[in-house]
Amino acid sequence: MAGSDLFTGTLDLVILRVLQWEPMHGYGVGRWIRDTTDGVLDVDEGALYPALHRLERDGLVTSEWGRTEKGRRARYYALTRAGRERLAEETRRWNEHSGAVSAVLSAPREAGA
Amino acid sequence: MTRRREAGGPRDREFRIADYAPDARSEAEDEVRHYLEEREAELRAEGHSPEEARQLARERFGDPDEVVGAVEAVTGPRIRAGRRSQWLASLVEDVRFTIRTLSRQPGFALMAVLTLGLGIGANTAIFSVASAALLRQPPVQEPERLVSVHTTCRSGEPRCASSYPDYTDYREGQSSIEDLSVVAGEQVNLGLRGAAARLVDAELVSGNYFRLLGLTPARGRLLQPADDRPGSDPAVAVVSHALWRSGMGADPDAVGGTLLINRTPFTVIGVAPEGFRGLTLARPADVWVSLHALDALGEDGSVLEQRGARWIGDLVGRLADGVTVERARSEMRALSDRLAELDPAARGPRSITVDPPGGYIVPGRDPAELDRFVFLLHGVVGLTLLLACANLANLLLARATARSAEMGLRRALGAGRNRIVRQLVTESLVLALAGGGAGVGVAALMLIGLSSLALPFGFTVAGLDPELDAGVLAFAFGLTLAAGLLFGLAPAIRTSRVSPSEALRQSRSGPTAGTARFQAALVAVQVALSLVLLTGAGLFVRTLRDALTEDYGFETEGLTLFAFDPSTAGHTGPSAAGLMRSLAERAQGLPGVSAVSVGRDVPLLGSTLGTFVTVDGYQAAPDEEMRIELNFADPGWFATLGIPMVEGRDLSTADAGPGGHVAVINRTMADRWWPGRSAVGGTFNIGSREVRVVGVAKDTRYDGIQAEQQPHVTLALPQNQARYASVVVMAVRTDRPGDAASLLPALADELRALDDRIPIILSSTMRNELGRILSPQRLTAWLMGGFSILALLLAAVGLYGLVNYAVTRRLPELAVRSALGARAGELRGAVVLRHAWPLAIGTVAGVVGALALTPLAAAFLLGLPPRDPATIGAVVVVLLITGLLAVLLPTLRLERIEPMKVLRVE
Repeated sequence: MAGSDLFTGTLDLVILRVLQWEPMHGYGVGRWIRDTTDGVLDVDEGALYPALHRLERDGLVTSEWGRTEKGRRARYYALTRAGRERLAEETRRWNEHSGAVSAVLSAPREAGA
Repeated sequence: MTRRREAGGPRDREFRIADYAPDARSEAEDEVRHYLEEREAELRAEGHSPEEARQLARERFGDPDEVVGAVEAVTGPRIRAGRRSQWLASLVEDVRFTIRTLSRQPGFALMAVLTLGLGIGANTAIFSVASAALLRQPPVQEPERLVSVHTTCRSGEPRCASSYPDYTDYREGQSSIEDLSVVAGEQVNLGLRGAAARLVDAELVSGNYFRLLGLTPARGRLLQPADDRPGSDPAVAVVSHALWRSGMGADPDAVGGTLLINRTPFTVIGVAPEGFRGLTLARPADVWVSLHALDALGEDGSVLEQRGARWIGDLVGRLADGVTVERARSEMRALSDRLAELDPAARGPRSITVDPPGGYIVPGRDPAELDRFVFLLHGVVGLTLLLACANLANLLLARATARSAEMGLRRALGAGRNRIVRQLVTESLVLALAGGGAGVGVAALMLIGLSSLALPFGFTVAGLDPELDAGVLAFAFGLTLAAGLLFGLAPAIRTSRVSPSEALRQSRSGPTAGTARFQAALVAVQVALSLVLLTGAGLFVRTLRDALTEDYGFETEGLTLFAFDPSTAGHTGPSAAGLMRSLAERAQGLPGVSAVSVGRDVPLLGSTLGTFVTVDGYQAAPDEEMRIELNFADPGWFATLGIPMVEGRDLSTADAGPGGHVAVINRTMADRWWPGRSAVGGTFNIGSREVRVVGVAKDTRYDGIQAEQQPHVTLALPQNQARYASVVVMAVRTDRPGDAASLLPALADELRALDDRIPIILSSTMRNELGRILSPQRLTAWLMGGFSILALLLAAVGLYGLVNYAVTRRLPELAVRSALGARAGELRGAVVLRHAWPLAIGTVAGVVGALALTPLAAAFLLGLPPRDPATIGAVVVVLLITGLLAVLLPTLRLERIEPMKVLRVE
């Protein structure tokens, strides 16, 4: 399983983002990510679950058993207060980071000299 | 689970509570399964074939086992750590879920709680009586080393009174009983400053009594061996702490003061420790005096020297350290043999009986008899509780079948089997605890209801003062848990064993064959238990009816009894005779009174005197013991009691003079010693006194309702005036039987007007006294009768349910057979034959059980054989009729079976 720190952090951030609007079960989260990123984050879909449970262990999400619209028993994940704060902070850091990276990548050669 | 729930949503608490499965692995597996299901559906919707969809979903997901492993690596430790608190939390949730479920079925819950409440309550009440009667120990040192010693009777009965010389022989002639003490219970007339004379229980004891018991005084000092020797002041007394507090105002100066016992001043030397009321629980003592006070009490102290005067009811000994009762017994037997050799005339065939006293002594009785009675009661209520459990188990099974869809769904959704068993057992325990709580209330009510009831040997429930103390409550709690597991576990296990798919099927088609068989077996158990209870009830009802309607040889209705002892107020023969004449005249004047007479002993209430006679013209056989029961009575005694004369006449006023002693004898005596000729006019001798027979009366039992008929002699009181100055009974006959009891206050007033110092010993009606004698039988008859009818109804309901279910389930099959020409009678026969077997098996098992168990009650059946075939036969008939009704009722609808209609529904 892809396990670089960069990737792990990214997946975590994406999950927190998805859960920002409403509690969702694992499949819902996976589907949302696939639909939104159009399959760009191409990893084993199963990697989602260890990530969700890690987030729960760290107190960023909580889970509760419930039922889907089809009546199927499923575990629903929701953001905690700490999760919201982490999402806000990571989003800011990502924006800085990605801003910085894209600045570097798009800068003309003489700028650094 | 028929109620529709809100769809979806993580806030569906009820669902979560019911299906909480604290297992990280299976939860993770379920999540993964869910993902794959959804993903497959998604891929199918995109146009993939099911086969492809499944493969693709798996491919994209990665190895599910690896994912589950990774999840477990994250969550495992956390869940394990939290399992304890989760367990507690899920217990709370189980209980809440149960309460919610039960509150939706209030009828079921109420029925269960009531059934259990009755069962547990009855057991708790009887247990508290039993523990008061059997487990309670007198507050003395090492009560377990105390033994009770009796001289055996001439007849071989194990427990008769001893004489004082017997006592000294026993005390000094052996070593396994380190000390032996005399306890002679007696009622005395107690006079306290500023209070009316009253009768209290006293114990005449040897000087070593308190030392033997290892007691220390609350005040002053206790009796010592020095108080019980000639030359010491005999008029000293120890009083109970209760008397000191209630009668003497807990006055510290009371010690050293005086009180009047039988009109004689006694010095109070001390107060016994609080709570100590002697060793006879049935008659708690208030006063202790030494044996040498007999003369001071107005009795004949010379009895202490007479070897043949066996008047001491009980001897209490303390076993030497480490000595067993068996060893004491064998040493006492050896001693008895030595004594018999030394003085064959005085000992005769007598031996010595040593009983462990079982805490308290039961005067003159085998202490084990009370145990037996209490065990009998416990057996009755225990069977009832078992039956209640069987009934509840059946209810729960039926309910579980109805809920099997819910259970199946839960299983299908991943709830483990243990989880389901736990939920169901929690339900049973919640029910049991509610029932136990109700049971404690029922027990408290039952104790109030039972308090006036008499147990054997003069114990009353109130006298035992049973309490719902910590021990009893612990018993009730243990019983509650045991009951909850008993009726809850089996249905829970059966239900959980069913596979989810089977469960879903079952909810439509009824229980599986296994569950149905189990239910049928429970019904068989119910039938058997109710048959045992019914048999017991039948035996006791029959005993009671026989006893109440038996001809005791006299008229029990409309007879008022009023007993007192003029000697305790200082009367001697002549003054007591005068008092009696005046009282009889006043009693004659009371409304409705038709006859009044005075006597010493009244039939059924005990015979107090016995002696030996020789009969003129009768040659006694070599071993024949010409023993008679002796009574004294005033003129008109037999007419007053309603005892018919067989021959000759009643005692009359003509017998008052000194012109030779006369007597009325009973028929048994006339037939035995005047065989084939008239006894009237015959003479016999009591000691040196010649007595002429003037009449023969019909036989009446004196010494209790079970006594063997003995030769009985009634002498004329006016010819034996000294006998007036002892316990006498005034018998008053009224021609308005309903008013017999209302005469009692008037009689008491008349006596008080004549002499207010005389305490009343007995004030009752014959009917009341008979009721009191039969109280143990009545108590058992009521308990057994009530519970057995309940049991019968429960068993009938169980049978009905069983057959009704079978008919419903087999309706299509029966409809087909009906369509093919089977008549309703044949169909009914088929159903009954196949489903009524619990009735047959239960009946057979019940008869076997009854035959095995009823002999345990033999001692209380007053001579009725415990395996009485008539009773068992009648009970079987009642049970079979009830059972067959319950079995046939559900088959009635086969008469109206409409095959087409039934089959169309299918």
